[in-house]
Amino acid sequence: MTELSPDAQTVLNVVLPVYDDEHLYVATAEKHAGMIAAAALRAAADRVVPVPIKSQTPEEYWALLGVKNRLLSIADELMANTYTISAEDNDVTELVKDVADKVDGVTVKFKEGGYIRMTGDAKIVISEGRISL
Amino acid sequence: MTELSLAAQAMLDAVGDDCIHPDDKHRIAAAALRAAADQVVPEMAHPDAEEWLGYSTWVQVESRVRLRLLAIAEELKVKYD
Repeated sequence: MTELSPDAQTVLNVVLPVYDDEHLYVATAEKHAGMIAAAALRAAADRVVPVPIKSQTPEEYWALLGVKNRLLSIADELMANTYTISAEDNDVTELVKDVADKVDGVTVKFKEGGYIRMTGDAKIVISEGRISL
Repeated sequence: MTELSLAAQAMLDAVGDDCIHPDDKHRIAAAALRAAADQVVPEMAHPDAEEWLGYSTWVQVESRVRLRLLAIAEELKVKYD
């Protein structure tokens, strides 16, 4: 079997454990895929433009930094989107609100139009009939 | 629903392809990296752009990054398809 290059193997090593816990779900398959894509992007960005950035000239340095920042900013967006659950996806808004009220350090913002956005280091876990943050 | 940037939406569109099962992580990663290459470091439309734009370093760096992203994507796709 062909060996993967270090670049590809690193990306794969980062991507494979994402959401291995089958009791942990995000709202939709698209968001699940977005989470995997974000992990792949971050791993690739670290391989392709490692820190500290090695460059021959200041121009090269700024070009590499620009590319890396753009890759990471897309990854950040995808992750933020993953933690946005719309009321249409699941009718869990009130339930999540109740749970969030009981958890320290987690903020859940509710906005007109029916969606919530979570901030902080939090995940929604749906397991054995329970929802927790 | 949060508005995504065009680049992020393009990534989601790529990985949300109906042909990709949500558990096919290597295929999702490959699709994501291909989309990222097209969004972040797109192929130059004109082969001589490097010369007349005067952005030789910028073009070279982006071309190099693009090739590496596409190479990783291709490896992941080929090995597991």
